[in-house]
Amino acid sequence: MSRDASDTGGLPAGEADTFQATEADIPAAGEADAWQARTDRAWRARIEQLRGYAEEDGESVDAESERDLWRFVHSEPFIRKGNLVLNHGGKLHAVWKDGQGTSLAVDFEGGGRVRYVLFKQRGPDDKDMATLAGSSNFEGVKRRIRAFELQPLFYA
Amino acid sequence: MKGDAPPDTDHLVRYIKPSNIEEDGTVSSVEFRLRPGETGISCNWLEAFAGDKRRQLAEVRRLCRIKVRKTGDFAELHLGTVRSNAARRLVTLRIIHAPLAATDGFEADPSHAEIMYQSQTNPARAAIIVEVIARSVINMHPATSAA
Repeated sequence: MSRDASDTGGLPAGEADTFQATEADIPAAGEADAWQARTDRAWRARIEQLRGYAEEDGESVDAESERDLWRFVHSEPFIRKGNLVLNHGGKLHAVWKDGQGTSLAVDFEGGGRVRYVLFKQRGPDDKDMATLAGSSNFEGVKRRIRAFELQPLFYA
Repeated sequence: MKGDAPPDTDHLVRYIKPSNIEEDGTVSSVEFRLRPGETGISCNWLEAFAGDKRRQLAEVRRLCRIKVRKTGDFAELHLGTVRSNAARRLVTLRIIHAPLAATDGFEADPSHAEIMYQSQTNPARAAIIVEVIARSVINMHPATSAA
């Protein structure tokens, strides 16, 4: 019986039976996991710090906003840790920036909705700054990231 | 005088609570968002007080009506810079002097001022405005003199 490509894990027929992961393959996967674990720890530490600040003011971190942040940063590998603050409603507001004026800020509103503001430096002069703001879902923000070529800010 | 626009040469400060100071020490634009019912962002006009900046900040701290934390800061804005940055981004804001009268155990505050902009009619535009204001911060000062 012949096998189609879906049986072979994407490898050409005939190679699937003999394929073995080499050492070079294994560290790459482990490295990604280790990177994600480190980044998660940094996000978690900041969220706990913000939770402490909120409690001092008799407020709290919005649980649905926090859930959305985690869903967003785990939606793809290698999303960098951004700066994080709390907005007036206790919702999380994350910012990725490059120090040269380009930035992407995302408010996690809950229910998979986000509000975003981006500033993109397009040339040496401040007047070459493009700005855009709106509300969307996770995929909508990622489309803006691609359209404005913000990948270096956002992905490691 | 109430309602006047302080000159471009002067400076404002606004208290920034610790949860709105980003990990890299910069002020989050979140701090300049209007809360429901607010007409403007409360600030203090430093030059409403005589003396050097240290003395002006001491007066702002003394008359402050909100609870400030040692880990908070006063963010300083140069009015001319805020206005020109807003004009460059084609956004409209007004900065007006809005002194507070003495009330309920509080002394009068002659330095109170407000940054006003439209937030309801165009939330996306308002999001750009608050980012422009946050990017115009030129200095940070400890919220309490003991910090």
